[in-house]
Amino acid sequence: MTPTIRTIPRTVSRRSVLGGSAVAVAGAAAAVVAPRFAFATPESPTTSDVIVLVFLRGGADGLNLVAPHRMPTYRALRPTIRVKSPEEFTTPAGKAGIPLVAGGAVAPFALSDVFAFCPGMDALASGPWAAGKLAIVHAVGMPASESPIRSHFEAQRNWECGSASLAFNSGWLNRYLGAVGATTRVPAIAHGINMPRVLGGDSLSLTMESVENFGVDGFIDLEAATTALQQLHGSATHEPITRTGGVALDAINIVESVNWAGITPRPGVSYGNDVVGRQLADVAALIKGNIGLRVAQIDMGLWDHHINTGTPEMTDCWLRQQATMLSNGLAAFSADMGSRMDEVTLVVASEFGRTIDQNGSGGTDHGRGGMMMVMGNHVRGGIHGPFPGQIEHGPEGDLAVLTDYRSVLAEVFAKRGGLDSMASVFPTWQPASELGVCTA
Amino acid sequence: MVSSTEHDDKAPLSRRAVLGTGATTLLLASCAKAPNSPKSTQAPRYAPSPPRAPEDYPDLVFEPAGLTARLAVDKLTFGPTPGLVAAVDAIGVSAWIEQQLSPGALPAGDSHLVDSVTLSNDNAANGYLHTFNDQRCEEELTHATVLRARYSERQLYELMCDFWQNHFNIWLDSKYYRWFKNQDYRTVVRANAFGKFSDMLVASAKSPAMLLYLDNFSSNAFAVGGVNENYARELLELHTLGILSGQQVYTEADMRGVAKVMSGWTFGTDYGASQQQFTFVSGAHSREAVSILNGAWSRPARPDGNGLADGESLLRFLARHRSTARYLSWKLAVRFVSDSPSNALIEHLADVYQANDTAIVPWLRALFASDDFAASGKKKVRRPFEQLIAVLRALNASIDSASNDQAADNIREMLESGGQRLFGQQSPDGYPDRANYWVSTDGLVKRWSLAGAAAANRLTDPRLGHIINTNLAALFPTAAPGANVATTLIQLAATVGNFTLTDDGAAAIAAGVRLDPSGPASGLLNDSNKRTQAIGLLLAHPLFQRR
Repeated sequence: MTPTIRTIPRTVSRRSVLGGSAVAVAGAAAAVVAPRFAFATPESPTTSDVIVLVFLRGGADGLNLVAPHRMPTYRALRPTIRVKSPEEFTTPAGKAGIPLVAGGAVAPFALSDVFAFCPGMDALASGPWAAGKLAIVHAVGMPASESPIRSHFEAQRNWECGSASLAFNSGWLNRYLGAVGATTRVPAIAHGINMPRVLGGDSLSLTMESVENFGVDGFIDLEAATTALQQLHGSATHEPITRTGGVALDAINIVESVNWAGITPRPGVSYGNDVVGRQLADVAALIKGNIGLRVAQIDMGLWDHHINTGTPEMTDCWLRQQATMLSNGLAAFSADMGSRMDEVTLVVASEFGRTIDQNGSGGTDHGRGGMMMVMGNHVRGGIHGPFPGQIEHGPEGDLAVLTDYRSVLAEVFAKRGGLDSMASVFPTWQPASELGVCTA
Repeated sequence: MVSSTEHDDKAPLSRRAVLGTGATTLLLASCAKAPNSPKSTQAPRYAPSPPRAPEDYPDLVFEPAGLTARLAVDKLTFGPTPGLVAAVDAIGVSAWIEQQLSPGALPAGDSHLVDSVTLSNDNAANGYLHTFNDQRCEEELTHATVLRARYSERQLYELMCDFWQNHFNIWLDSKYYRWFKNQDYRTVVRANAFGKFSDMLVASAKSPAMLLYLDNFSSNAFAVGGVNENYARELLELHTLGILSGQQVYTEADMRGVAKVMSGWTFGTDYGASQQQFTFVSGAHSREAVSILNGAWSRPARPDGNGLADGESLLRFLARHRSTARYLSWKLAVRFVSDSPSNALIEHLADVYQANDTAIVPWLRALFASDDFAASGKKKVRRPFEQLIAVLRALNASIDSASNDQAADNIREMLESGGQRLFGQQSPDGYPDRANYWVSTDGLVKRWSLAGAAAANRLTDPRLGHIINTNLAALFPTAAPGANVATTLIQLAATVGNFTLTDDGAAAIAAGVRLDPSGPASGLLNDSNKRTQAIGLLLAHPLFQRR
């Protein structure tokens, strides 16, 4: 293996310099907190869930992830790339869509047996879905009355800021932290290097690519260097660098107080070695590390399938491979957290859906209505919200937005996130009747 | 015989269903089916936006208050090298800027490029080399870009290559033909970075790398489902008209019209002379009449499919459009001035851009002559690529020229771990250019670690003989009579980092080397560990993250 900057040996052990007292505090914390508050810290108890956002960047094709597989118009408009029904195969396993029906732990719902998961999403179907812990909302997005735009970059801006109004430039996830008054020192982490808009803003939020490598390297006398860095970032002179630097230095102390190597997935749980699997494994560890995390965000990319989406019954289908990774990651996360999913609510969403009909390149172009998922032990399993009786190739060629994505989030925040008023989080949202995706 | 009505958007669904199985119809097959109608001769029509009156830019003098050599070096280079600010002062700021705007006589730094065959190859030759080493094209391209940024004296030109490469961003890993990027970078970006935007736009539209990345190569008006919208949408939104402050001048219907005009623009896969080069396939080209922006540009129906000239006409129309002028000017001002430049500056630059028929150099000259530019000191946060190069330049680092050794590998690793792998942005908007994206806890921690490691000369394994080599000794002054630790640090911040260190900042760094700021300078200058640590902290200072 090629040595890299990450492998430069430290002259001073960070743990030996900074770790001692913090370790003791964290050890005490683990012992005293009540189970309901397992993920809070003693100085900042909470009754709200940890909110995890998985953002599918690029406009995920909700119509093939959760496909209205028997709908004649769906079949007609997606002749080669559609998810097929089980009755179309003599041996449907692994080729057909996985029908989403009520029964077992899934309470009756109106759209039962209308949709099917993309083939390859078996883990999510047999895990969280079958356990009644996965809610799906279709035809969801930013209402056209606020912004009908199909640009990735504008739609992502609007989606992440929670409003099409340019007056609101911070992210709604950041404003949520402010509204609930999160007071821990590491309340929010975007998994990665740079700050996504959805978590950017005035409330304290961090990015972290690797919790185990989150620390300063390279200085001969690290203790003195850290002192200097604290002083250099101790005043509000060079914002946003000084403030962010101060947060980083504080977080290093907290993160280094945890024995991350000792936090492993539950026996039998295996995360895939792909982008979303690795990120969800890290998020699970961060939650279990009890560092006061209230919010985590991860990005999963490569959803912009303008060409060669592929036929979902084939395992080399691009969309199917993406769907499988997502499904495996979510199922592993749910299994890994186990009963701790009592205190975690995970939301999956994208900036918009895609056109109903496939284009001449065997792909789909930018559309409007997309698909969201909510997962957790207090989620009401099933498919919620309206869906058109038939989907049509209208002048814009896509699924209309029938449910405001903020209605889904607002319900999660109200019932699971301890948030009383959505006014500051979603200032331009028009409240609608509750979908019932989760219980308080 | 193909008639345009058969390809109306409102065609019956049954036809689509019947044709559905061959969605990825080969373009060449369509070409064979192209009807052989008489050529249509009517040219596309457009009403160009009225240009503003040209102003007398050649006589412009760079003397707005505040335009110092320090500011000019911060903004027009990848960072100061030792002595550069003094050299610019000696020449005079305005003369130096003129040199940078006409850099032909300046050393290009290409003498440092040893692994550069793929930089001058065309796609076919690189495709051949790719079969032996599928990393070679990327390695040579990224290392050459790093070496040019580090060494070239045509610094502004290199900065503008970076700007345009992000404007016409192509993710290196987007599709199979990874070797296409090298030809694109040479023939689109570098060839036109100081030329005319309209030429660069046409070159980009014909570049196989762009045709592949944004899928236009497969856009076929006669495939089931019709044209592919991907390129047309980004052409309007990202390459030309833009969406500024949420204001969008074009409609979805305009976008689809553009997609029709651009259908049939693809690249050849034959093994002849045109292998992997642009080609126009009239059999895939839409026959429909197209009118966009309320008729500001239009063309009649093209029953014979001969629409290549229409595409070129449309691209040049878009390049010259007022919205494009504004959008590009906003982007340029964001690059050089601040994250939220003034409307007055944007309008002024847009005037100059249009008055000079999209020529880039007069546009840059107008920017550098503006009061906003003179007042823009340290308003931008360096992106990780700029930060890494600034560190290397500040320390006068030498970088081994080989594109595949540990020096090159580690530089790629540092850029990736900083979040800015070269040519690595997946989405076509290029890397963001705003502080609230780049200033993050993870990003800052990595910047500090880079600063410490660079000062300690540990960017590569020392056992390899310092193939990235920093030499701090040359940076330090001899102790002046009466100099103490604080004044020495303040002097170093200016000469090495090109920023003003306050007394508080000097006290902080003195603490970082365990010295009393009022103690004698010799305590710092005669202790190599403390000198190393002090330089590392200066490079980690919040102001060195800015330009």
